[in-house]
Amino acid sequence: MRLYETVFIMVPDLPDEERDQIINRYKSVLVDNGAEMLNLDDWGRRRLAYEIKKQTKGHYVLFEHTAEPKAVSEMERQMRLDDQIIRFLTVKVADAYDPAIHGTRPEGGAARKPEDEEGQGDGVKPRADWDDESGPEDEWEDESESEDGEDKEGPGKGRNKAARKAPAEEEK
Amino acid sequence: MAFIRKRKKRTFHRRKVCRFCADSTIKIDYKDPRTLRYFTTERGKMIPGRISGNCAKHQRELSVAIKRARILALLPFTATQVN
Repeated sequence: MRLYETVFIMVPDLPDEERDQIINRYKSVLVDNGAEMLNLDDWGRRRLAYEIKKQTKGHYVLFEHTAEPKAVSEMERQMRLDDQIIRFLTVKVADAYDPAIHGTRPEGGAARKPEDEEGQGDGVKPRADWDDESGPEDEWEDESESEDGEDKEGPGKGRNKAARKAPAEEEK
Repeated sequence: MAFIRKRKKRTFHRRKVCRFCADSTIKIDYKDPRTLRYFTTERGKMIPGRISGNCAKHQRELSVAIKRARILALLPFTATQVN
């Protein structure tokens, strides 16, 4: 039995009981195919970083489970057909489930839960955290130094490169 | 002449260390967009390892994690245009 993590995104505006129904349905698809649920984490509604099927928000659910490959493909097949599921991703964490190594999953699951419900999703937001470590300009200049080939042609050229590259990043 | 200037510049050089090697408590996880976002530009592109200073091993893991996070719409593939 392999250890998997499945994250799927449902349309955001479902009533609670319908949502539970969907979750239970996929849970039972797994369990009926011999899988074992280790952890179920409902992340709640989050803003999507980009539109999927005209939706800007989605309801995220994480399953951590062991399963045979065929159970996973069956679940994925059904998710593909389901209009309420807008995206899913299954990742194999380990080839064999070993409670000694992976036994701590549930507590980890809660800790890793993404930060907030609604906000944050927009990637265009300028990042304030640049400043405390190193500004982008610094970094680009570093590059021109570390590339020896550039250095031979004089630092001027390296600088130009840095100057050329940085604005490209800003441009809309 | 160019050589002298180069020398002078060298003094500004800052040693970059791989963040994940330096602090083993940070895990690279595709489910944690807040950490991953630090290694992308404002436009959502991944920052190359030579800039961020990450070692090849962790940069590889990071790249997989960012791509997974993008699939789940936790991170953008590109900055979406707002009109």
